[in-house]
This record gives sequence, structure tokens and C-alpha cells, in this order.
Amino acid sequence: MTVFKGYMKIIKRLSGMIAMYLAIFTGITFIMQFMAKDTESGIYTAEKLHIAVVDEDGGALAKGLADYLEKLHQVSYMENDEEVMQETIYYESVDLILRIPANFQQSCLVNGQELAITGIPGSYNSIYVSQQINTFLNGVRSYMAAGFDTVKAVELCGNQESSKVDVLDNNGKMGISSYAYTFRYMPYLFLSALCYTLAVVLTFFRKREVKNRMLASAVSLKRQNAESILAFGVVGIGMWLFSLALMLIVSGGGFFHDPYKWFYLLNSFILMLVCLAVSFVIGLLVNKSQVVNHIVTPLSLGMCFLCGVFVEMSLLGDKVLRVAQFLPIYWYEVVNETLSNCVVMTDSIRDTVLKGMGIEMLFAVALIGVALVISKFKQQEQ
Amino acid sequence: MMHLIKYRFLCTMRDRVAMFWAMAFPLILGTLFYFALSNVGKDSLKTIPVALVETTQSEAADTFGSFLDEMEQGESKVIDVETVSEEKALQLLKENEVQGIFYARDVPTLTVASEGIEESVLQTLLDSYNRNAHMIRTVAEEKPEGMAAAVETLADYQNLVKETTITGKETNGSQQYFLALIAMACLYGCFLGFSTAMNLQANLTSLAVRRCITPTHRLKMVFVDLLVTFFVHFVNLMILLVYLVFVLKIDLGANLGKTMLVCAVGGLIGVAMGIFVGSCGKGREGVKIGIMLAISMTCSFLAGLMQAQIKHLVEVNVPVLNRINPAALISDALYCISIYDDPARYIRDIGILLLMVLILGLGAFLMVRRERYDSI
Repeated sequence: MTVFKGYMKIIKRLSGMIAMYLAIFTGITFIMQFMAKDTESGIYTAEKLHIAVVDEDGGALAKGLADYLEKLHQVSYMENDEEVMQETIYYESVDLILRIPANFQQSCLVNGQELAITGIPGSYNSIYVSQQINTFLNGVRSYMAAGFDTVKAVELCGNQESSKVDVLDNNGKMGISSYAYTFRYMPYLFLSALCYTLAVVLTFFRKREVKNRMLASAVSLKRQNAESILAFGVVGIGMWLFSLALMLIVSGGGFFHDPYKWFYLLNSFILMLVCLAVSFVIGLLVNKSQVVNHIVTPLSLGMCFLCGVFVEMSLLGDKVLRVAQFLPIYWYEVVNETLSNCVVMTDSIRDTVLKGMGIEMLFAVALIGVALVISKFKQQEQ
Repeated sequence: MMHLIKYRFLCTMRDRVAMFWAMAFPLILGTLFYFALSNVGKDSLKTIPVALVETTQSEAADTFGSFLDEMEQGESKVIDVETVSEEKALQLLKENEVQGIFYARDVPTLTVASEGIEESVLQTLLDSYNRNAHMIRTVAEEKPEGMAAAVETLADYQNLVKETTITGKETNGSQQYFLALIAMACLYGCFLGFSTAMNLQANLTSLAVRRCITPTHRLKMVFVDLLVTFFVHFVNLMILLVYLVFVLKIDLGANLGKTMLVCAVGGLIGVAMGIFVGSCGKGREGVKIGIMLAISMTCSFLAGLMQAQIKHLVEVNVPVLNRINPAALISDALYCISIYDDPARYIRDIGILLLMVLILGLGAFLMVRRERYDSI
């Protein structure tokens, strides 16, 4: 097992870099877990936003509106300071700012002057809260028109319960589970850590003197190749198991109850094989180990940005997604997203999942084919 | 002098590793940010597809149907209603083709498959309808004489909310990523500064040995090295700026002169940091590069390179960190130009950055001055 040991020796030398990538991945996983909502209860709850209220009026209607919003969302109060408000909305510390002007009741209910809200552009938040505010204010208007005073009208509008929402029978699954995020980020770990490590190791073994020594050794070429594949497999499976262990730790065993757990596992395993194939190609193309980082860093970041690893797929433009279809990570994320959104596995959903995995496998096979051609070409060159 | 400048320039340009990180990497990352984030905040909101199941034939059910019609044809076209059978509606919901099912009954109901902002919008629509129905009942019970006025006001439904911006300028959270990217590019000048420092110390590189035995005055050599390195890095940053503003069309504010000044001072900080780390102690090259990477990446992370909100989070909890983090200062100065015009804050940021350059430069000078080698 000399060749295998050689691989492991070099990998040990690169352990600092591997540890760094593992630490980044672990950090991201924990942050996402921290930020993910508790969606595994199976009970429907309406979206709660963080609203900042600037109340310059302080009257019964203004207070009633703020109290009403407080029942539905998380409300905080802030001063009417333009600089602070601009910074708050720019950094998205709140989802929405509501500015209630002085003499609000007269200006809004009587003169029909609109209330200013500022939300993060391009989100449903503004529509969502606008509807609630409009319902409340129009309600107060109607009650007051019927002869109720402001305080009573505000009370009647504020006390009404929200409508009940039924949830489809969903095997206790509600929203996206926290472990789905760990699976979403896996391509970054595999592409950066696996590709970097194995590509560097390959460049060492492809040095002319090392290669010549190996050719002259008593170990047959077949055995050398078998040991190389074994080393690749050990590193790949090791990294895969690490990410799965991490996923199990953060999900607290919730993953075992997922009806599609086997699909998740298979998909991530195929992803690992694809990344092994990518690292094989890079290792054959690059001669110097210093250059590996220059290729792996943009490649991993590029694929992760374009294929919906770092940014949710729904937020990516259509053109970007069309280009991303030519990359294997895109299909991994399609499967992952389909599984995480899936309520009931219908035939069409099953087809999407199997098609995605099939395309990933085809990418892996194609990449290995390319690698074999390169390797043959380089051998002839020597 | 010209000879020294020419060869220092060639040396810097041929240092492919340093040039990759200082020039190519920010360009690559900028392009990726652009493709990944260009749609965030710009895309018009898609209408929410819903299914309507008409289970009973009653006046109340019809009223609810026409209420949904109104919502569908409204200005913002929030929902897209498809009237189907219950079986078909459930199938559509399971396949994620619709976000919810409205059942038009005497008391209308909503069924969803998961929770999220779209589902909450649907719930609010239902709420709005149910509230009005409830109001009519309350008025009929408590103030029957006001019924006509209440119904009239209800029919005259007014939009009392207007979406505005705080200063008249629409913000886009994804812009912070680009500001942090420029800050990172400035700091990556440390790789150029580092190789300059390495080529001045005879105990570290063979090139420095050859340079140290020449009769050229040390100060002249140091001055030329600094000048050329800073110039090259400033050109790198200008390439990035031109690429971001004119090719990717990122809005960095109208005052390009002020933006260039931030880049110049930021470039100085990067180069000075590299020279300082390069001159510090006797650590191996790999270790020093690791230290520089760790410092520049941590600073960029805290300035919002990976998560835009981080900088504000630091500002709220540990504001002093934002005053000493060069990347945060650079991105803050750029924020003052492009988002919220605040000259005092801009000057404060530039002032602190210049002070840092001075401290780092002085520190590096104190470490390498009067260095003599008995034997190499």
C-alpha cells in the first residue's frame, strides 16, 4: 500500500488547509441553523416581520395601529432620524419602517393622506403589511362612520382574531427543514476542500521524477491505480461522512423522520462523486501545486454563486439559471430544493428528482472520460 | 532612478501569485456577485398562484368569489386565481403549482401546504374579507342606525398606505457586497506590499541579497519600491472600479473623485499592511501569507463581504471595531458617497485610514531600519 500511504502522507501535510475549509463549512452550517426558523412543529404560523415604528403622533389611533401590528409582528420604536432610518433599512436590520406623522387621525382618515412605509425593495413584506394596515384603517373608518368613537373603533378593529388556516396533511413537515440548508452548502465544502486536496496530491504524483520512479517500481500499474482510486474514495467518503455527521448534530435527529432521507443521502453521495471527478481533471491539467488554488477558488465560488448554493435559486435571474444548467451543481441544488419543498412525493416530483440525479451522474462520467483522455494525451506527450 | 522604477515595475507585474489576488480575484468575485445578486431587489414580484374551490352555491360564496376577482385585477395583481375542482386543487397544491386553496363557503377558508410570506399574504386577504363581514355583524347589532354609513365607507375602500424611500434614494442591500468587495480588493494590496518587503530583506530572499550589496542608497530603494507598488495597486483598483461602474453598472454614487480618493487611501492601507507583516519578525513566508489572508478576510467579513448585515450588527454591538477595521472604514466611506451623503463621516473614515497607514509605515520602518548583515 505504498502509493496509498504516499497519498495519505501528502494529505496530512495539507491538513491545515482542509481544517480551514471544514471550519468555514461548520460555521456556515451553524449560522444557517441559528437563522432557520423552527419549522418542524407542523403547525401553521403566519410570517412575523420586524417592523420599526416612528410615532410622531402618539394619539389613540396611532397607538392602536402600533398595538395591532404588535399582535402580528415584532414591533420596535425608533426616532425620526433620517440617517439612522436609512442605515437600518439599508442593512436590513428591520424588514419595514412605518412612519406615523403628527396629527395622523385628521390627515389620514379625514384628508385621506397616505401613511409612509419603507420596506426592503423587491420583497412581499410591503404588500403584506400594507394589506394589514389598510384593513385596520379602513375598518376604523367604517366603525367611526357608523357612529363609534375613535377609541372604541380602534378597540373593535384591534381585538379581532386572525382567520384560521388549514394545513394540508404533510407528514408533520412544515416549511424548509434546517438540515436542508446543510445539504445546500455541501457543494462548497466538496468543491473547495476535496478539489484542492486531491488536485494538489495529484500534482505531486505527476512530477516527472516521481512518476518515473513509480513506473520503475515493482508495484504493477494496475495496483498503483487501484490504490490511487482507494485513496480518492477514502478522502471523498471521509468528507461526506463528516458533512453528514455535522448535519445530524445540527438537526438533532430530525433528519431521521424525513420521508425523503434516502434521496438526500443518495444525492449528496453523487455530488461527492462529481467533485472527485472535477478534482481529478484539475489535478491532471495543472502542473504546479501553487496554481491549484488559483483554479479551485474561482471555480468553487463561481459554481456556488451561479447554481444557488450561496444565494437561493428563486432569487437568481432566469439567464443565470439557464447558464447554470450546464453545471452539475445546478442539478444537485434542483434535487435538493425539490426535496426540501416536497409535501407529498407525486410521480412528477419523483421524476424531477431522479432526472436531476441522473444528470449529475452523467456529468461525473463525462468528467472521468475527459480525465482519461487528458491522461492518455499527457502520457503520449512524455 | 528610472532604471529602478522600470525593473521594480517588471518584477511586480511578473509576480503572478500576488497579481492574481490583488487584481484578478476581485474582478472574478465582482462578476460572481453581479450574476448572483443582480436580481435581488430588482425583480418585480410574481403574482401568487392560488386555487379557488366553489363548494357551495350561496350568496356569501359568490361575494367571496368576486372579492378574489377584485384582488386579482387590482393594481398590484397580488394573486392569480384558478377556479378548479377540489381534487384538482389538492393535486396542484401538492405539486407546488399553487400556494394555497381558497374554499368559497359561507365562512371562507384557506388551506396551505407550508408556511412563508406568500402564504401569509393569502391569509391576510382572507382576514380582510372576514373582518369586513364581522364588522357588518357588529354594526348591525350595536349601531343599526349607522349601518348605511358603514356600508358606504366600506364600499369606498381607500388605499391609505404609500411605499416610499427614506431619502428619496432606493436602497439595495446587495450594494453592500460590492462596497465590501472594493474594501477587500484594497486590502489585497498587502500581497504586493509583502513581496516588496521580502525583496528588501537580505535574510529572506536571494534577490534582496543582490540588491543589498549594490551601492544604491537604501532609502532610494525603499522609496521606489513603495511608489511602484502603490501605483500598480492603484491601477488595479481603478480597473476594478471601471469594471464595476461601467461594465456591471453598479451605482457607487455620482462623485467618482471621492470614490477614487477612498481607493487610493485604501490601496495605501493594503500595501502598508503587507510591508508591515513582511518586515515583522522572522516567520516563514507561508506563515506570513497565512496571517495576511486571515487579517484581510476577517476584516472583509466584518465589513459585510459574506453577509451584508454583519457591518451593521458590529456597529450596533461593538462600534469601536468598525472604527479600527480598515475594510469597514473603506466600505463606510463608500457608503457615505453612494447611499447617504455625510461629509463629516466620510472625512472621519479617511482620517482614521491615513492614521493607520502612518502607524503601519512607521512600524515597518522601525523594524527594517539600520539592518546590517555580518554574513548571509
